[in-house]
Amino acid sequence: MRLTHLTEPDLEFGHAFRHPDIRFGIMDYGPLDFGMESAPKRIKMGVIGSAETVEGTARWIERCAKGFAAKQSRQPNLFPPFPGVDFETTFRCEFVTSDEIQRVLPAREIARLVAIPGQREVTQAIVETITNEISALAEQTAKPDVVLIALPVEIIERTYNARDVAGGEDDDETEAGTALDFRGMLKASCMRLRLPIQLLWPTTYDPTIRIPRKLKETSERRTQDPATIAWNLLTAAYYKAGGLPWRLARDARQLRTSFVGLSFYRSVDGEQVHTSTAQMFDERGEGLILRGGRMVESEEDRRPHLTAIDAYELLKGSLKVFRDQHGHWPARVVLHKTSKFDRNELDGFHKAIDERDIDYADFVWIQKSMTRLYRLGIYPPLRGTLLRFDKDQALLYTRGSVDFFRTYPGMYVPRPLQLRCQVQGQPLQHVAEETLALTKMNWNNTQFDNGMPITIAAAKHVGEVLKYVPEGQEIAPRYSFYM
Amino acid sequence: MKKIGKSDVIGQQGMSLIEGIILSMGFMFYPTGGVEAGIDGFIELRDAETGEVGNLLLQVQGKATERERLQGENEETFEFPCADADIEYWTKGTAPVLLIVVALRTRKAYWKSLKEWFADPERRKSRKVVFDKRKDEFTREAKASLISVATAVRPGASGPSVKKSEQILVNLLEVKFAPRVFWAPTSHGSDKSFGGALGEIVKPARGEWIVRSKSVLSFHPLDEHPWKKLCDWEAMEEFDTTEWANSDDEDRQRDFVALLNRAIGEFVRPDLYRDRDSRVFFFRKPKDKHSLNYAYRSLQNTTTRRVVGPYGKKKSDPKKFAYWRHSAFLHRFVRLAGKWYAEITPTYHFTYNGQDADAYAGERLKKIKEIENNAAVMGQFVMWRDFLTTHGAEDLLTKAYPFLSFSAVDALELDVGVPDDLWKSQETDPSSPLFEYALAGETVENIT
Repeated sequence: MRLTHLTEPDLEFGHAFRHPDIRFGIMDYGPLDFGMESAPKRIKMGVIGSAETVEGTARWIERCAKGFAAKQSRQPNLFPPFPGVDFETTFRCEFVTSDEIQRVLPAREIARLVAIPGQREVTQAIVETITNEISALAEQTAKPDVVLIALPVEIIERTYNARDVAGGEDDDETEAGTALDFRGMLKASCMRLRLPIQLLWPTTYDPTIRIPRKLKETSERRTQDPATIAWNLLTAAYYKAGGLPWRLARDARQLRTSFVGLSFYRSVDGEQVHTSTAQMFDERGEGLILRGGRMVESEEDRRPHLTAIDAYELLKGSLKVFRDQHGHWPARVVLHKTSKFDRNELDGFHKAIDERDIDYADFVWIQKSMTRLYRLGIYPPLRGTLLRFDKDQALLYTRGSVDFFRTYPGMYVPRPLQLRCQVQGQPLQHVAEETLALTKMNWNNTQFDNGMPITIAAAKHVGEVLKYVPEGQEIAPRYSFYM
Repeated sequence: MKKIGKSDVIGQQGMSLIEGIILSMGFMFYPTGGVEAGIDGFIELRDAETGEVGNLLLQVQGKATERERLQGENEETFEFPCADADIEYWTKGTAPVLLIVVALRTRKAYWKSLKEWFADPERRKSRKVVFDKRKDEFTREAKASLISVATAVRPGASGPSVKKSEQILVNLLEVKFAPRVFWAPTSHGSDKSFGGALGEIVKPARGEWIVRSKSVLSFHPLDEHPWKKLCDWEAMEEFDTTEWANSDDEDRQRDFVALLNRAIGEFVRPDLYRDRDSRVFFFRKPKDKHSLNYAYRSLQNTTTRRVVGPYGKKKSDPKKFAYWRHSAFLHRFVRLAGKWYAEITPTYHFTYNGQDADAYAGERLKKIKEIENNAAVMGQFVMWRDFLTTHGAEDLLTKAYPFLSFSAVDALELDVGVPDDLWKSQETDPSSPLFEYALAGETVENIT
C-alpha cells in the first residue's frame, strides 16, 4: 500500500490562463472561449412560470448583472462574491430577458393542473403544458438561447415526490431508477425542440419563500447564498447557450484522448435496461451522447452488461463521432464504467479499438468504496489522497478536505472512489490524476470538488433523461439537454 | 568614542531570532533597511519543496524585549499597547502586518496579524493587542497560519501547500485463517438443510462450513464428530486453504468469502449479535443493565466507550426510554494485492428495547451519520480494531479461536496534511456539529 497526494488539477480559462478554481478562474480570466468568435455575447433567457415566478426570475436576472456580495465568512475561497455580468466581468457577456421570451401560465391553468389526481397523471399534464410553452418559444423568430422553467410552489409540491432533488451524498451510485421523475420527463419531452432548459425554484430569487417540508424527508431545503446561486445558475446557462466556461488544462504532449463514460438505465416499463454513453472530447466536454444496446445479465456477477456485439457497436459509434468532430481517430481511448467489464464487453471494445489501430486504451472500473482512510483529526483526508494497492488498483479521494477552501465542504464522512484498471495503457498515477481532473468538468456546479468524474456523472444524467425518450426518436447530441 | 546603543543590539537580536524562524519555514525574510516607518522587514512565502515564489508578502513589525515579565502578563496572556497612529498605519495598507514580540530572556517569539486583530471595533477601542502565549507563539508550526493570512488578502490566491506530515489509518485489518480446509460430499443440498440436520445432533452447532453443490467445505476436519454423521467422511479431502484464498476463479473466491463470513460470526461470539436485515454485528445489551461500556486501548491511552445506551423519551410514557443505540460494524472480506483484509465500517444498530430492531432505525442512522465527523468515525474504528485484534486471543480460561484472526495494519504516512485547528478557527459556523470532536462516537467521559 502506497499513500501519496495528487495536487489539485488546473483548469483552463480565457486566453489559455490557468487556475485550479472555477469561480476565480472565470473572474480573473473570463470563460475559456472569451475572445473567440463562437463565444456567446448576449444570452437571451426565456422564462416560463406563473405571473409571480416569471416576474421574480426576470428581476433576478437583472440583479445578476450587478452582482452579489460574498457571503459573510472567513472562507473567502469557498464563498467568493459574484461580481456581476458584463463585457468585462465574469462571463464577459450579457444575460438578458424580455417580455417577448417570457410565457406566463395563467393562475387558473396552474390550479387546474395541480388539481389533477394521481401522481402519474398530474406529472404528465404539467410536462405537457410546459412543453407546449417551450414549443411556442422555440417557434418564435427571436427565440431564446436557454429557457428557465420557474416552477411555482404549487407545481413543485405536486411533481417532486419522494425524489431527492438536491442530490444526496450517495446520489452518484444508484442507477437511474424507475421512479416517475418530473425532471427527466420534461427534459425528454422538450428535447426535440432543441431549446436547452434550466429548472429553477422560487427560492433562487427569494430565499424567504418556504416550500413545504413534506417534499423531502429531511428538513427544509438549505438555500445557498445568492452569490453561489448566481455562479451555479449562470455557469450552467452559459454552457447551455453554447458557451464553453472552462476545460481541463492538459499538456500538449499528451495523446489525443477520447473519454467515454458508460452507465445503464432501466426503461420506463422497468423491463429493458439500456446503456447510455456520454463522451468527452478534447477535454472540453464537447462530447456527444449515444444510446447503446440493451443489457444482458451476466452470469459472472448477475449485473447488467453489454453483449460483445453491442459493446463493439457502441464504441465504434463513439469513435466515429470523435472522428467526425476532429477529422482523425483518437490516439487513446479511456472507458469509465461503474461495474466490472466482463469478458464479452472486453472482447467487443477491443475489437472496435483494434479496427482503428488505436494503441492506447484504459478501461477503468470506478465505484464508490467502503474502504476508507481516517485522519487523526476533525477533517477527513484531503481530496487527491491516493492509496495504491497494486499496479492496477487504487483508492482515490475526490471528495475530502480541500486546501484551497481550507475546509471540507460537505456533510458525511466522504467515501473515496475505487479505481480498477482492467485494461491499462497508462500508469495508475496518470489514470488517477485524469480521473481527479474529470471531476472538475461539471458545468452544473462551480465548486470544483465533485465526487464522480464527468464521464460517469454525465452518462448517469443522460440515462435519467433517455429512459423517457421513446426508442427510435432522435436524441439530442449535446450534454446541455440532459444536465 | 563611538557607541552603538544597547537598544539597537536588543532590536537586532529580536530580528535575528525572527529571521531564523522564518527561514526554518522555508520562507524568505528581507529586512527593510534604510528609512522606514516601523516595518522592519518582509516575509515572502515560498514553496519549500519546489522553491517557487508567488509574490505573497507579509510585513513584519518586530519588538524585542529583555524584560523578565511582559506587559500585562499572566499565565496565558500578555498585552501590547499600541498608538493610534500605528494602528492606522498597519490597518490601512495593502499587505498584512504581523506584530512579532520577542522575549529575549526566554528566546520565545509571539505573533499576531494586526489587520485581523483590529478589524474588531472593540479591540480597536482598547488599542491593545492581547497575545495568547500558547496559540500565538511564533514557531515553525505557525507556517500554515502565515500562509492563510497572506492568501486571505486576495481571495482566490492559493499559497504553498502545508507540508505537514501526518498519519492516516485505513479501515482494513489483515486476516489470517486456518491453514487447512476440508471437503466432503454430503446428501444435503443447501446450507439450510445441512444446518438443520447439524442442529439436531449438537447444540449449539458450530458454523464454520458452507454447502455447495452437494458437498461441504469446512475449517473443521469432517471425519470427526458430529460432521462425519452428515457427510461421506471417507471421501473427505484436505486442502491448503490457499487453494481457495489465492484462486483466481470467481466461484472459488466467493465460496472462500462465504466461509470467512461464517467464521467471523463464530469468532465474535458471545459479545456481538448479528442483525439479519442490515447484516451488522452489534454489542448486545446486558440483561440487567441499561447500558454497556467497553474499555479498550485507543491511540494514546486506555479509554472507555459507551457501546450500548438508551436514548430519548417515549412520547406515550416519558419515564421510558425511546430506543437503544448499539455500536456496530459492517464488514467485508477483500483481497488486495494478493492479501486478505477485513474492511471494517463502523455504524450503529437501533433497537426499541435493547433487543429488537427499532422501526425508526433508518432515520436515526441517517441523522447520526449527518453529525459524525472523521474523528468520531476514526474513534469507533480504533475501538473495533482493538476488539477484533484482541478478541478470541488465548487466555487462562479459553483457547484462541483457531480459524480466524485479525491484525492491525500499520498507519500510513502522508507528507501533506490538514491544519485542523487553523481551519476550524475560520469556519463560518464552528459550532456546527461537524466540528465537535468525536461528538457522536462519545466516550463515557463525555456523557453528561
